[in-house]
Parts: sequence; C-alpha cells; structure tokens
Amino acid sequence: MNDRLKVDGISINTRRRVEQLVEEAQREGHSTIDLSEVEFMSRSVADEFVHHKIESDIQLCGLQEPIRDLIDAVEASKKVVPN
Amino acid sequence: MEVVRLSNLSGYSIRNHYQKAVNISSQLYEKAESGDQILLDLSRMDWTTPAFVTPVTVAYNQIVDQGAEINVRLPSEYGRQCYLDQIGFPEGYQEPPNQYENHLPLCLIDNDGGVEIIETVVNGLTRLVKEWFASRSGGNPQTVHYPISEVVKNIGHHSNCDYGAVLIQHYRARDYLDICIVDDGISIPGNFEAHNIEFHSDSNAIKRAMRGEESTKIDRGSRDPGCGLKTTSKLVCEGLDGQVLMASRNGVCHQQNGSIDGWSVSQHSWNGTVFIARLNPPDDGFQILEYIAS
Repeated sequence: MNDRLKVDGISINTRRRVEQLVEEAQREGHSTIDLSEVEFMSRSVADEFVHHKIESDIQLCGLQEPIRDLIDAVEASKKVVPN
Repeated sequence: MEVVRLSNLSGYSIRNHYQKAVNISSQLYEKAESGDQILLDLSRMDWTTPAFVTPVTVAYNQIVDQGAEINVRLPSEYGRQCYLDQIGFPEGYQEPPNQYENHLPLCLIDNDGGVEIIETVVNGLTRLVKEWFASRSGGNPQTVHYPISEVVKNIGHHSNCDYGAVLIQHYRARDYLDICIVDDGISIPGNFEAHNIEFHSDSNAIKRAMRGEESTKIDRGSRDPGCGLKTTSKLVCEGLDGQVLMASRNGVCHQQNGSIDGWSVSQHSWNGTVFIARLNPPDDGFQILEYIAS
C-alpha cells in the first residue's frame, strides 16, 4: 500500500464520513489519509480516526495544528499509544 | 378568525425570547383546536433571535400539517420583514440556501434527516465561523465550531422527532453567535424514563444531562460516552463566557457565569427539547484543549 488519499473540504462532520474515507482509502490501496485541507472536526470524528488508526492501520498526514491537537487529546484520553 | 398576538419582543435576552416563543406556541396550539383560521400577529416585533423564531417555526409546521390555517402578520419595520423572509420563517427550509453571510436559515429536521441534515448544518456553521473569525484580529475558530458541532451531531440521535428546526445567527455588531435547535421528540426526561434513570423533576433531569451526570447514549459501545452536552455547556458558559438554555417537557435550565438555574413550567412546557446557546469569541490565551481533553 502506498500513496495517500487527500480529503477535500475543510470540515469532516460525522463518523460515517470517516468510515467512507477509510473504505475509499483501502479500496484504492492508500495507506495514508491526507487531512491538510481539514480545519474543523468534532471529538467523535477524531475518535473515529483514532479507532481506524489502530484497527485499519490507516495513517494520517498533513494535520493542521488544531486538528493534530484534537486527535492527540483524544488518543491520550484513550491511553492509546500510536504506532 | 382567532388571533394570536405577540405583545412585544425586544432586547437580546435568550431567556425572555424563549419564554415568548413558548407562550405564542401554546396559544397557537390552543387556538388550532377551534378549527378557525388563525392570525399570528407579529406586527409589534422590534427584534428577534433564534430563541424565538425556531420554536415558533416548529409549532407552526406541526399545526399547519394537522390541517389548520395560520396567516402571519409580519412586523411593521421593513428590515424585520426581510430578515424573517431570508431565514425562511415560518415554514423553514428542507434545503436551506447557503448564500447569506451571517446566518444559516431555518433548517428543518425530521426523523428521516439523519446524516444529511448534520452535514448541512455543520457545513453552514463552518462557513459562518470562518467568516466571523476572518473579520476579527485573531482567535481560533475551532473554539466556537467545536462545541456547536458536538451538539449538532446529536440531532436526531436521542430525539426520534417528527418536527424540528435549527437556526444559526451571527450578530456581527455584537460579536456573538446564537444557535437554537428545537425538536418535538422524546424529551430529556422522557429519555431518562425510557432508560430507567431516576430524577426528581424535569429540570433536574436537564441539569444532570448538562452536567454529564447521566448519558443515554449508546453508540459503538464505549467509544462514545456521550459527554458532548457537558463539554459544550462547560466550554460555552465557562470558557467563552456565554450562555446555554435548555428546555424539555416541564423543565427549563439556564446556564451562565458558572451556575445553572433550573425551574419547572407547567403552563408553557415544551413537548420535546429546545437547545439555545450564545457563544462569544474566546479571550486571548484561551485553551480549548482544557475542555476537550477532560
């Protein structure tokens, strides 16, 4: 698996959307989801990404600082050590 | 013809505007029973906020769909008339237009709304927040976007409503943003009863929900513990020095300045749930992670 799936749009609003992105990445053979355009997400969306980082071995890249901070905070609250 | 007349609506108090809304809605339900045409007279409206128009929109749609005819006399002032037209009052929109700079028009929610309505509302919120913070000299827009998106994503999750609506309004000159989400679903106390959670009054049930003392959320097992309302209320009221008002069945709670004031209403209850928030922009040095990480 190589290359990345770049997400269009500045916000990801639902868990379902995260599931769709992960499914699309896996279908197209991408190991990484590029969130460089994303400026807003909720805690539940961050939680869904953290879940898939573990379960689906999907990596995230291009995180803007507020998004990285949110995902780090959710990971820390779950006491998960990322790969 | 039966007349329901708004005696006066002015000022900016979300508490006052909500009480006027539920008063007007109660009168509409009562007059609808007569079977006569109804005139909703808003000619004396000086000002309005989402706390007034959103509950009245839900009541209007319920009553009209049951066969009643409601005519609306708009405010005398032309600017008020234009505003109500822009936001889609009183019918609301199934697919709100995305063209207005400082509000997301009345967006209707129903039991079939699901993910689509969440996407519509949060995308509208995103646009408004970006425009708001672009005109300011600083601040992290996530601080305002986050608490509202947490509440919006739960639209329909608990409620199982037939009628509902959302309105978001940015007051540029006053530098704050109001949101009101209304539904006619199960209600917070009703939801507690369905999950065998004990409480001593409807306002007590609402207060406990706002404090995160109870959650009826079952979502992917333990991965979503349902603390969105607590986080939102704390962030909005303590972090952003804002306000949250929630009304559900016979209870109302208003949180401001670190305390929650709760009371019971018997005459003007709301069969469902009303969530109203007023968000101020963050002060310099505000750290949203203190609220998200807790």
